[in-house]
Amino acid sequence: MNRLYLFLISIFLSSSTLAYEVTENLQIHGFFTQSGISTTDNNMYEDSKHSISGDLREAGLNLFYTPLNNLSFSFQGLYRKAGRVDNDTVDVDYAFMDINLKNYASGRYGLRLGRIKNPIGLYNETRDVAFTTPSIILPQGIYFDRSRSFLRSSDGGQLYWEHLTDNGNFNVKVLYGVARNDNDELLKAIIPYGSSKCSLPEPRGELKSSGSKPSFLTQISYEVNGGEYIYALSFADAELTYNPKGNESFQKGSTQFDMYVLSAQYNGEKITLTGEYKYQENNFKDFGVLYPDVSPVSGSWYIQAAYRLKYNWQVYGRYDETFSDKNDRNGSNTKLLGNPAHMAYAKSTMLGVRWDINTSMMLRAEYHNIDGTSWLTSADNPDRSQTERYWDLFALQFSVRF
Amino acid sequence: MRITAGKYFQRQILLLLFLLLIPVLSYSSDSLTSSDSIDSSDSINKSAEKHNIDDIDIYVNSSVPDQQYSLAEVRAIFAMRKIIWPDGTKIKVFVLPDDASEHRLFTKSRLHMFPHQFRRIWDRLTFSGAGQAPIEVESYEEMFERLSNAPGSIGYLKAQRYHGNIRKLNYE
Repeated sequence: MNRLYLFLISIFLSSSTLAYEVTENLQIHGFFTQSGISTTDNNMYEDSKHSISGDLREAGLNLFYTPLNNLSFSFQGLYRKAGRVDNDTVDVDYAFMDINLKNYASGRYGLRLGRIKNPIGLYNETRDVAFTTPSIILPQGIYFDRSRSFLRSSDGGQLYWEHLTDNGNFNVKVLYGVARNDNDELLKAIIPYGSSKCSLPEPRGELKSSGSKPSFLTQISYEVNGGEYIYALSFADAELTYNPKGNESFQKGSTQFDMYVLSAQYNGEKITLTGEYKYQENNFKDFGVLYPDVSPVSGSWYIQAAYRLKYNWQVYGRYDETFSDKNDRNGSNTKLLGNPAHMAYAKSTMLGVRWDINTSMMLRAEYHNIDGTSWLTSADNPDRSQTERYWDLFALQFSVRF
Repeated sequence: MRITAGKYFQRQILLLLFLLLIPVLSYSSDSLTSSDSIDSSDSINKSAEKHNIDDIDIYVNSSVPDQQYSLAEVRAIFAMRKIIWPDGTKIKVFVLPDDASEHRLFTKSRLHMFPHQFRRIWDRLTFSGAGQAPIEVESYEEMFERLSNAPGSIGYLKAQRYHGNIRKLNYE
């Protein structure tokens, strides 16, 4: 917590207006978000069951510096507390240089080098910034919190191209770099160790990006009429190597993902409609006899509708579904391993309301009704046999930015 | 009150109800939004609406290359996606705050976009490191000051003749 306070003090000493200009060429922005989570069963972001957990907290501070017209430097430091997964971590969210190779009347292209946010779906690049997301709890099938550390950014290079036409704008991003992973939540999603009742032993090694093949991510989007209609196709081919620890039962295996996300959004004056669909091929191999090679296909989709009662008041609702194996939607294979079947899927309905108090403060509240537990982290629910299939979640969030 | 889980179809019913609610809300939205400053000024004087819209125009610092720009280019400039003028100088964008009625009137009447669309674009640029947000000014007076003094700058003002280092932008 002390680190957070230091971080916050440094943010708020600087300014309280939006778009703070330090000099002609330097802009500084920041945000702070605090959420409260309560659940009827299961723990989401630490001890939320029959209680209120305040352990979902994020803060960021970023710099944008343009010494030359065609050169800029971007940096964002991020603090995060998310239950027992991210425990007061402070790290570099992104840090890259942007070389704008060409500007022409109807577009531009260039190259970014460094740590770059991964362009997946409509929200991944700013998934930790409450003001930019459509809900407190993001649709987990696509913006899966358990694999967040792996999906949020890569170290490498990105080519970008933006082209304007009278009808709409094309936007292409091609990223090649090393995926990052800094916790074992993803590992326990891959090797489904649920509890001591599970026939698999608990994996003790690490999924490491070092030594893994670099990932390839690309996104093509088309925006009509300044973003009234948005269409996007994202693709990611990523890999992580498993490094066993000591003489454990699992061997040096590898995990590889091919992810496709289709996104569409309508942004009207009062109504916003969003739909996203994910199809993901997973290849887990060489983990040894205990966990034979498997290639499950996971999938997810959601539709969300938001209605602006006033320009600063919004009500929204969503239905979403996610399956870790499309050929085993009711989780019978998971059950064979000694885990609860409902660990393999989640179907949920959500209703929420958002109030933008002013341009730099926002408050929102949500109710989720969930069937399935695939959202849950092992860190907050170490014994899956104690989890319940049907559960409700209430969330309240306050966010401030400059 | 806890909505009984276990009855899977109940959630679909909830969602359906919500979706059905949208047209109802749209229908009654005239009264709900009447406290918006744009709408209230409309209801006070309906005939003044067109006049008000014509009252806002895009102005640039005199240093900006004098040529005709397309609406797509002007939108891209305010969206902070086009950042350099044809002569290679940097574009500097000034806007009023999101909740200022002049800003909402400007984006709707001149660029045919809504303030929330711009906010989405600016926030994505700002918080992914891909770009920056425009510079906010508090009033037309400040806008005029900044436009007059900053080379390569663009913004919007009440349409009238100004004495100073600015001119109306030629676009269609």
